[in-house]
Amino acid sequence: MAAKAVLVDGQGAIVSWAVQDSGIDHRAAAAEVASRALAGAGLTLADVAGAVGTGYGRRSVPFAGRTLTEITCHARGANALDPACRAVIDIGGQDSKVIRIDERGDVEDFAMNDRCAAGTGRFLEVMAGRLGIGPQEAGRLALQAESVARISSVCTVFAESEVVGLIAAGEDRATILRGLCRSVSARVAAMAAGIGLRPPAMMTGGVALNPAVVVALGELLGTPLVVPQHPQIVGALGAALLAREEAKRRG
Amino acid sequence: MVEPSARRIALLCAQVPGEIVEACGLEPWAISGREETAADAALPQNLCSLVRRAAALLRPAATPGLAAVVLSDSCHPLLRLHDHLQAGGGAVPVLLLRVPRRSDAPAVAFFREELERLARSLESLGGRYPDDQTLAAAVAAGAHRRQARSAFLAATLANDGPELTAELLRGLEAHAPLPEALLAAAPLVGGPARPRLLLAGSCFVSGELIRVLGELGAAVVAVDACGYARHGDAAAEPPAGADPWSALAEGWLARPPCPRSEDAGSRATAAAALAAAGAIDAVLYLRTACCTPQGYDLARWRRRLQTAGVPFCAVEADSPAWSQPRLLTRLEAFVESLARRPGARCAAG
Repeated sequence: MAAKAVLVDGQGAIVSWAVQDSGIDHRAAAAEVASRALAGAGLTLADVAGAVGTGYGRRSVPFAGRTLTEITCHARGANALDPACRAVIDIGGQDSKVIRIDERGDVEDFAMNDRCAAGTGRFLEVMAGRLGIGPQEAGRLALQAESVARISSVCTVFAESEVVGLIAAGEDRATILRGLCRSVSARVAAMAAGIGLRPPAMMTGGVALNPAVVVALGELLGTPLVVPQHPQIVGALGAALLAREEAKRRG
Repeated sequence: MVEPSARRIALLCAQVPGEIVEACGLEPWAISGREETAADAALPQNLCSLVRRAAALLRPAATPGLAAVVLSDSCHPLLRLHDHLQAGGGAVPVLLLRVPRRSDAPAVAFFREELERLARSLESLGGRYPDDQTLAAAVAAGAHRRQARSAFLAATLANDGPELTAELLRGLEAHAPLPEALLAAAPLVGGPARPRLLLAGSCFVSGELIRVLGELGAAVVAVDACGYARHGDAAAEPPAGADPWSALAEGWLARPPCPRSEDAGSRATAAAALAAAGAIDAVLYLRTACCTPQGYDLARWRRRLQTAGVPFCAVEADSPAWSQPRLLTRLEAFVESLARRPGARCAAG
């Protein structure tokens, strides 16, 4: 799990940002990542007009004036990066979510998967580990595959057994990886179908850095996905923008 | 009417009329799903969580005075529970009541016979087969309770009427006394503007959920969920001299439908009408985990309300405990989205 901090100016432009592993002490991680983002802009907490905490650890951000769910924040952040987007697909380390948004970046409907590792970054991390490949390399390698291994299990535990069997049978690692990326994408695409996704859709979260998942998900949804330059901070960006709105309202 | 030493008869689901048990001189105990109990480990994990939790209660050791269980044939998990209890998984007699999914004349006639059959079974378990006068009194009392709950719901649905609190919610439960004094003292929604919600679906709608939603900034003004009175219930006392068996069968089947009924879709239409009238702002549907009828029902509600442009959110739960972070995030996100809608009652956050 990662902690992120984004700093925006009075016009809503990103001034600085930081990402780090959150560890088990969310309060310490929040303070540390915020310090790093502030230091990157040569500022301190005293220079901040407002802060919003979001994500699983949103109530562990002591300097946050309020908390908002990551659903609301991802919607706002995606809208700021591309106002044409009408959907956000966020695949993080521990959960995945699909959000349908309106032209203002407000949430119309959403669906989440946060009780099963399948369909999340954790699934890919575990499987890549089984193949002896780092998560960063997994996506690039998967794109080189000429065929797709079929992973029938929807459960991470059983899928891992399947992968071991495929390795033992001499299946190519790239082919297995492409199958795994497709498996994650299929889970998320099913969620998206449940809420009636409207393109264009933006993909956010750390798994958006995996090009094989982006391609597979786009194929399953029937529309290419928009991937911002730094997809893992979109939620934090939305939180910063909402903090800015709140600060402006307060005067 | 219920004798002081009456034996307790568990009823599951809410489709089983307690009036017949009362008329037999026994104590009806409607299992609500909100009891503090863990799921029975002997039943499959993917079986309805309500049924698994209820099964743990259906033993004299867990429920003192329990003499028998009456199950409806509402759904497959209940039939599985019936088989499980009959095969030795339970320690008391278990009876099955077949409840029609329609309310036409043949269905009423069929159900009348089923009620008579149930009364004979209860007689064999220590009850008393009711004469017409006794049954008529029980039916009239039941109709009176339904009328009171309908009036209660009309009050909470009125613009700027009282909001439902955990205490008031109890009054909507079958066989619970109506807290009229609490209604008079209930807080009015028209104070700080908050989105007004209708809660639909599962019996796991609970006082705790209402409290959680209140803390998140919403007000619950209506409930249309299993085990509770449903708005639109035009209960009427049967005319004097009417056959009480037919009156009970007909009156029972004329209640607002539940997800198992043929005309279940009318509930979603009624909710859309409430929204159009400004009585509610949004609907939160709670699905009991692994409940197939609610799975279909949820799709009906979503389709109907989306067509009507009514904000709608569905969450799934396997117990009446709503403090899990997973559920809180969903509820919180929904309330946030309501607050940010154009024309929302409250300021966007």
